[in-house]
Amino acid sequence: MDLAQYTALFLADGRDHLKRATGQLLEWERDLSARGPVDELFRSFHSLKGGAATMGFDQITAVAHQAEHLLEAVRRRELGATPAVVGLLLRAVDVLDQGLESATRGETIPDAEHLAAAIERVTSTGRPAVPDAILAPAPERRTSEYPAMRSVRIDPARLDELLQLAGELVVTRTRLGGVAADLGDTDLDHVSSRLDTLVRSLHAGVLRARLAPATELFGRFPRLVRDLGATLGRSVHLEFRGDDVELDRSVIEALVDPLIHLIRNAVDHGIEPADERVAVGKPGQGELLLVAERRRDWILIRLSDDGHGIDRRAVARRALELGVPIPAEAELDDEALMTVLARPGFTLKRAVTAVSGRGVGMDAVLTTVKSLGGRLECHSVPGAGTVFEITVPLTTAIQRVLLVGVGAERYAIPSRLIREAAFPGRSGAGELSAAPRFRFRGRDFPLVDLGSITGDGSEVPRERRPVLLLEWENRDGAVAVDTLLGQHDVLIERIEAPRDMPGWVSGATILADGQPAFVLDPTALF
Amino acid sequence: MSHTVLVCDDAMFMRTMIADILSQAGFEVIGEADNGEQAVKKYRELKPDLVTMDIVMPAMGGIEAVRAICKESPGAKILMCSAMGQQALVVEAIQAGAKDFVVKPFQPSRVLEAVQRMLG
Repeated sequence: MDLAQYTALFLADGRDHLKRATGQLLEWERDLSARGPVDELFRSFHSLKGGAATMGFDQITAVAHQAEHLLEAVRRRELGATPAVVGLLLRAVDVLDQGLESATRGETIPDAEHLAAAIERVTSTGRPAVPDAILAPAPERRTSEYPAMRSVRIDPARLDELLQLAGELVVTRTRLGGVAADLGDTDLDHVSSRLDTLVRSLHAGVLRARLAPATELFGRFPRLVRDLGATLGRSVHLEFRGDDVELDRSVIEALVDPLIHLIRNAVDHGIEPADERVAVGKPGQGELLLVAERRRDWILIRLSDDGHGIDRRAVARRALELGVPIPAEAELDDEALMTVLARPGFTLKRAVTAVSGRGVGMDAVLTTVKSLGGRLECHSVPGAGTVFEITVPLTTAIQRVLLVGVGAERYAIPSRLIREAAFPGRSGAGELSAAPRFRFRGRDFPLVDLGSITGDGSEVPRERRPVLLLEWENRDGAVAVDTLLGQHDVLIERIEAPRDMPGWVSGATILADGQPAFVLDPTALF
Repeated sequence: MSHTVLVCDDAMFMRTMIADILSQAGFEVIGEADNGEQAVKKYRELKPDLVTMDIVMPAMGGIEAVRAICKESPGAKILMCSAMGQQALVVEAIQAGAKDFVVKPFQPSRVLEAVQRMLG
C-alpha cells in the first residue's frame, strides 16, 4: 500500500492534535490539579502515535508514546503534576511540531531520541526533575496556535480569485445597465437593477469571507508569553479583549511578527521582576492586555502592560549617544518617543540578550504597520506601564485613494502616501523651479510631472497644476497632476503585470462608474 | 451485493486509510464517525454489516460505543482498531461485544483478513 498519498492528511491531523495539545497544556498549567486537560492530552498524543506508527514515522511514534506513558503515570498518581512536567510536554509538542514535516520528508528529527529518553526517565523514576537544557524552548520555533476554530481553511489566493470575479461582475453589470438604459426597456431595467443589488451583496460577502476573528491572531501568543516569562523569570498573565472582532486574513498574517516583537519588549523591558513590583505596591504577576476594536473601517490593536513604563531620559540619553536627532525638550512626548524608538538600529540595551536588545524590531514593526496603511502609536506613563496602538485598515484589499486626472485619464493614488496637496498658482503655496524640484515650506522636493511620465500629456498649464506631496518610509517627493477628483474607497486588485508594464503601476481598480483605473505606486516614480 | 462498513476513528487520516483499504477490497463504506456518540448514532441509522472502531476517541470512547451498540444490536460485528499499548482495553472491548481486533500500525492484509473472518 502506498502510504505517500496519506502524507498531507497525516500532517493536517498531526498539526491539529499538537495545536490542541498546546491549548490543553496551557490550561493544565493554570490549574495543575485539573484532570480534564490530562485526559484530553492523553488522547491527543495517543491519536498522533497511532497515525505516526501507521505511516512508519518511528521517531514521532516514540516521542508520542513516551508522552502518553507519562500522562498515564500522572493519571495513576504515580507522577505528580508539576510545572516541569508541563514544560517537558510543551517541549515534546515543539519537537513533534517541527518533526512532523521532517518525518514526511524522510529526514531524521534531531532531538527526538534524546527527548523520548528524557520523558521515559521522568516517568520511570517518578521524579519530575528535568534538565534545563531539555526545557529550554527551541530557538525560532513556530508559535503553536491555540484552540481549534469552527471554520474551514481556504487558501487566501482562492478568495482573491472570487473577489476579482465579483469585481468583474460589478463591471459587467454596469455595462448591462448602460445597454438597458439605451434600449429603454423597463423590464430589462428592473432585472438589471435587481442584478446590481445581488452583485453588490455578493461582492460584500466575498469581502467578509476574507475576515477571521482576532482569536486567530491572539491565540498565537499565550505560549510565547509563557515561554518568555519562564526564560526571564517573570510571572506574566496575558488577557484578551475583543478577540471576536474580525480582521482581514492578510492583516492577521502581517501582524503576527510585529506583535511578537512588542510582546517580547513588554515582557523583557516593561514588566518588572516580581519583587520590584511588590515593592512598589503592584501585584507580583504582571498584566499584559491585548485588545482588538473595530472603529468603522479601521481595526485598532492595543497592547498594554502594567510595567514601569519607558524611561524617557534613558531614551533621550541613548539617542544622543547614537547621534539620533531628538527634540530640544528634555522630556520626549509620546510622538517623539515613538519616532526615536522606531529609528533603525535604536536600542536601549547595551548587551544583546536572547530575547531582545538587538535593535532590530521597532523599525520593522513600524515598516510593517505602514505597509498595511496603518499607524503605530505609543503612550507610556512612568511607573504605570506602556501602551502600543496599531491602527490598520479593516482590509488591505480596500484602500482609500485620491483620484487624480491627467490628460484624459484617471489614476488612483493611495491616500496614506499623500501628506499634503499644494496649489502653486496661489500665493505662498510653493514654487516650481526650472529644475524638476518643488520648494514648499522651506523644503525642496524632487518633482515628477505625472502627465509626461504616463504619456497622457496635460491640459492644464504647468504653473496651475496641483502638486501632491508624498511621504513614504524616510523619503518624499512631489507629483504634479491636472486635477484632484476626490477621495474614494476602492477595491484594489493586484494585476499580473505584462512584461513592459511600468513599475509605478501597482494595481487596478474599478471606479464607481464601472470604468477601470490604474493604481499608482508613486514611490516608483522617483 | 457488497458488504457495508461504518468506520469510526477520531483521526481523519486513519478513517481515510481504513476506508481506502476496505473499498479497494470491494466493501462499501457507508459512513464515518469521529467519536463514540457519533458511532452509536450512525450505527442506528445505517445498520452497517461491519464496524471498525478506534478505542481512544473524544466525547465517548470506543469501548463505551461498543457496549451501547451491542446492547441495541447484539449481533453487531465490530472490529477494534487500537494503537499499541492498549492491550488491556482490547480485552475490555472484546468483553463488551467486539468480535476481533487489529493493532495500529496495521497491514492492510491483516485488516481484510479480520474483516473477512468476521463476515464469513
